[in-house]
Amino acid sequence: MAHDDESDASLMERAAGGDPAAFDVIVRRWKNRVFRLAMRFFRRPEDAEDVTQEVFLKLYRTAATYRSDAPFEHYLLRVATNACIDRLRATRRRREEVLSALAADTGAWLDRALAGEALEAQQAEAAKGLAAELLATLPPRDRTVLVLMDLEGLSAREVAEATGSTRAAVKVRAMRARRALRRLAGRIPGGERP
Amino acid sequence: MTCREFRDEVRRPRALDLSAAARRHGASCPACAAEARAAQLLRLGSGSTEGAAPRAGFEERLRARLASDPAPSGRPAWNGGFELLVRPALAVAAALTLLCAGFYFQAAPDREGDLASLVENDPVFAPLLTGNPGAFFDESQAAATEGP
Repeated sequence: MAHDDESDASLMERAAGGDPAAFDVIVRRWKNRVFRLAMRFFRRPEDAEDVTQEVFLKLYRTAATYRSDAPFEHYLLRVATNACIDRLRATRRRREEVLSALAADTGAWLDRALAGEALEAQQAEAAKGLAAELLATLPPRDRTVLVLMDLEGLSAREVAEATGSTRAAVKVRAMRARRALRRLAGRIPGGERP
Repeated sequence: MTCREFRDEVRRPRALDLSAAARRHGASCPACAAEARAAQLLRLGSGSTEGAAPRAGFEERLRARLASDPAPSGRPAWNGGFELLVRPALAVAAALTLLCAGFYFQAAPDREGDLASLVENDPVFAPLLTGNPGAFFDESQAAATEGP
């Protein structure tokens, strides 16, 4: 491929100038990274793919606003994080609603899964589904910080760049989010109450 | 193992199984056990990304979406409209407003004089200004008695 060895900044410049082949290279290079990040938030691959497409659509439309003084990955992560937060806002669940609809057996499976016990495939899947529903009750920005720091392994500084925040604000948010997560885990039947 | 070391181990991105030392610490420290439980909830509820990739034909579907909504790559459509049309229109409107305001203040009579004549001719203010506030009530009563 003609553009395969080019830097992301140069490809973005070409894409802004109307070169679709350059943008194709960007998509090929980064689609898995964006998709995997989206999968952290949305369990259904179709949802994750939809968000991934939105990210690249946005990237294409705003190609001219990209400034190459910032690493492309940071810019892409910011666009992707914002797209995930927007979708999380639209799909956020109410905590009491999820907890009140919680079936006793599913709660017990999740409790056992959190304790590290092995479950049958069907029980494990139900426990994961319930865990996802519970996470969907967290404020989107809090959840994003937790995922980026604790699952993606980003530093507070990197998360600040990705979310357009400051390092101190990210640390405070992470602390608050972890506390909320502990409370949530404590409200699952069989779990420890705070 | 200290609580801090335990938390560092629990929050490691790829922490799947805890070490024996961490398990022992978790069993004896309720706060750290709650921390481990919360971390496990996050891991369990977040999709697995190992080897995850979009379905085949992702680029083709993306191209189709781009073709159905071909906004200019330079800047968002609305922003382009703002720069080309709305901003000049706002500038013209602001200039016209300033011009009209200038003419109005230049052509308008002395506003202080207007206010004074209004007060002097007003049936309520005139008796007060002449130092005879009772006159207003006398006139009101006379008008009431003359009525049908």
